[in-house]
Amino acid sequence: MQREFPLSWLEELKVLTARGAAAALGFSIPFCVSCNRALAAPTAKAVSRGSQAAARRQDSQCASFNAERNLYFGDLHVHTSYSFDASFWGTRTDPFGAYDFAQGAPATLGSPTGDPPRTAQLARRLDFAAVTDHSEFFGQYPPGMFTGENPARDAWAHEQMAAQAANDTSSDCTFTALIGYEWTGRWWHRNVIFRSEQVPELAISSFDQTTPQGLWAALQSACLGAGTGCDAITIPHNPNFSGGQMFNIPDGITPAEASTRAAMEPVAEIHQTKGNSECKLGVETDDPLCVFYQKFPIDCLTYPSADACSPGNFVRNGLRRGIQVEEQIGVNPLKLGIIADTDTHNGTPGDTDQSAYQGHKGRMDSSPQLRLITTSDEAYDNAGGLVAVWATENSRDAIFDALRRRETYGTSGTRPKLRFFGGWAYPDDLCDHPDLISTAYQNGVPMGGDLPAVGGSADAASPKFLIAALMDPGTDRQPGTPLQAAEIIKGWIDPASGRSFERVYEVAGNPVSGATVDTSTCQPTGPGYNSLCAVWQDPDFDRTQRAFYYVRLLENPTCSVYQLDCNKIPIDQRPASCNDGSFHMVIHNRAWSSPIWYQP
Amino acid sequence: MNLQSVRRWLREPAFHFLLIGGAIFALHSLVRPTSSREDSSRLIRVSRDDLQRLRDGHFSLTGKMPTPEEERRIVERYVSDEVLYREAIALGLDKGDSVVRGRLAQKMQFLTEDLHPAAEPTDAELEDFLKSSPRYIQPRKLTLEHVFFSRDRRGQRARSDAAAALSELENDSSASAVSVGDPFMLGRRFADRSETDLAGLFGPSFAKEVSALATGVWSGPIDSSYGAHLVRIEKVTPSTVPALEAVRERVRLDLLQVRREEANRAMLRKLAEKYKVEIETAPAVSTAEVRGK
Repeated sequence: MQREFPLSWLEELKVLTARGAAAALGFSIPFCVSCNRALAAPTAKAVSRGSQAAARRQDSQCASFNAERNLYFGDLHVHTSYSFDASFWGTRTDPFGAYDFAQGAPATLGSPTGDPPRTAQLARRLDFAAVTDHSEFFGQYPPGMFTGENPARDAWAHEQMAAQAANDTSSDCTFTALIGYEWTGRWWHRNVIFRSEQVPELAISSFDQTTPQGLWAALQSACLGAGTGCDAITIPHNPNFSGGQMFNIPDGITPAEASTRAAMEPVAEIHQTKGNSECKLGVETDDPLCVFYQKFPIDCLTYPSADACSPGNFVRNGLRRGIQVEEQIGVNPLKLGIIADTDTHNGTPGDTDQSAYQGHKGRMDSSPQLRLITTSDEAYDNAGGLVAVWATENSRDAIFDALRRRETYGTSGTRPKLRFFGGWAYPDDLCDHPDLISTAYQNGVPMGGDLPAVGGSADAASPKFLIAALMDPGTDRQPGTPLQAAEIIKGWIDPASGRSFERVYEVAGNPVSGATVDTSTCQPTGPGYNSLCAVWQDPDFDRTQRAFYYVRLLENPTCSVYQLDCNKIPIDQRPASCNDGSFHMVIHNRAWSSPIWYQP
Repeated sequence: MNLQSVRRWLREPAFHFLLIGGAIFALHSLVRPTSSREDSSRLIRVSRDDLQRLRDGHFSLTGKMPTPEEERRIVERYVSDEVLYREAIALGLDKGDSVVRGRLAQKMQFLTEDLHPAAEPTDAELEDFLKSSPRYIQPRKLTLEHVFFSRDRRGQRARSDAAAALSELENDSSASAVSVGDPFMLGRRFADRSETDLAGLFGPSFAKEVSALATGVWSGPIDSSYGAHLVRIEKVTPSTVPALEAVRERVRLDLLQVRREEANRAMLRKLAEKYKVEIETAPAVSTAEVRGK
């Protein structure tokens, strides 16, 4: 499709993204007018939002602008003292402090009464972050702080002020602060993330709108359709404890409802401190690597009917449900890209370093002993994840656009670099081409995209994918862990029966390399890879079968946060949970790419 | 007393008054059996606001609003806590408790904090603040090109291959850097990157080494987390303080925040003026030493 245009691939991407977003949206407003301003020529004037900051950015692009996209790491799920729960748990860091922390400043963490204060500091700063305090009870926390006529509005104003102060609008583009908040319904958790400083006057909470559908409609009238330049997405998180509801799309969903959901929710949070949500062993899968930082240790092979074992709780099952619905009604309501976050309640965005983990819930999980109590609410938490985006520059527009086109991946907290492209005419030796990335963009789509229509003279009979990865280079404090393997997970629909299937393919590295870790010292041993690169062609392709493909990139095994916590306690004082198999002590940190979809 | 006189009594307003008054008195003594001075401190009233706060608490622990049954238990618990609280206050247990003291001090602090924006800063004030705050200083940045020799592909030879290619590049200025080396998925050229940025891309030791290189010439091999690199620095952007126009909004909000904190401290000083503070001096002796004696 792209090869038919005489435009440069960059111009084309711009056209395609704008068109795709508008078509998918089903709303009539042209809110994407400036989506791709970052890709436009520097002289092009997008629709003015009437704000100095926006106007300035259009005149001076970031000095580090890169048409082939830079990699930025961030955290879009952060609670501070403005959240009722974080406040209860003794967190005193406010949104201003949280954005400072993201940029390398230290923060004080909540401690049990009588314990010495604790501090944390990032070994590497983030490139972007959004503070997402609960809009429920907004302004009532910290207690006594907001005493005006409308505390909720005042707290929301302070949230915006903190983001505005932290957002670097100069051409240095050091840090991007996005404005956002969390909306928490009974089963359905969402983070609302705004493109710019144009936001509704009040943060719509679950007391105002009790369902996601209500939230989207309210955002449509207060933001996307308000004619103010306001633009927003909602990011589902913690499907793992949604009681099966998060991705449980009813059979009767209409194409209009499906379009709205797809337009409002381009990405989902696959991993965070309160557990992993990729998949679960026994829930429509026998993939052993689904056993990873599960919040609920329940064995779904034995108790398949438990709430925690419902397919509605997991992103992979959601992706399968999405193409199944698309097969029936022509629209995919769950066209989900992948991100990960911390969900820290300490006001500490990006503190995912497992070896430096101090908990994420103030005084509730402030010691290794507290985190190892298997019956507590804090048991089976982990150090959380990071969101990685491929964007032309580090600005609000460029990051927001990357989220909307799903050129994103999530990690379980480390920083491996991962690229993933799909097309029909990639040469088998693409990994040896010096300009592999431009070729990959020119002849295909990056993660989050749809495979172009097949039919060119050079096209293969089945799609080809480029998977390229570099290990996390680490820090002075903590060396990075080498890579072990890259896998492709494919999901597809059998059009005759309408049933969905999945399969895991090994595509690079060596999943049985023998790499391991000594749990008494947490020192890793065995071979690993600094980099991985492969062109993979689907050997089981059937062009009548709707499908998606995503990459799971595995690092060599390391100690889990549980083993690391146990090792902080003298052997004779360790709780039984350190030895009785309650926790998985060895894990593979990993990254999950956004999928690439194929439509017949 | 005949029937007629009873009827007359029943119609008598004074009798009605007495009757109603007596009923109110009886009812009152049932509901509030003690004297009115004790009434207010012995009434435990769970207001709508209290209810809302209790629901908040439940929500924060469970992520759900309480069911009616849960709410009944929560209210029961609240009432018994309130009874214990009142009794504790009556016994003076709040005195000398560091937690209670700290909590009340914090509430008072929030109450006295002026959250409304301080006076709008002038341009000159913004300039001064910008120049005096290290947080706005942009670090030194490099624009560089590199040629990559993959350790995964070449193993131990990565470094020697890079060294050989370097002498080739040095001897023949027309030799194209593009023709040697291995593909690198992040690209060959990086514009305007700080040492921190480079550490994230290639690893901390690479970033340190590259920061010390001369401009305009090929140097190396330099080891990264991925292999050996030849590097040519194209351009060095020295560390700068940005122009006010580029960061005006950040500087303005930061300065307002600083002023707010200053105003809060001033308010605290003003409150403290009401008090006379006496601090006794004592030689510094550690608790352990005291115990030892």
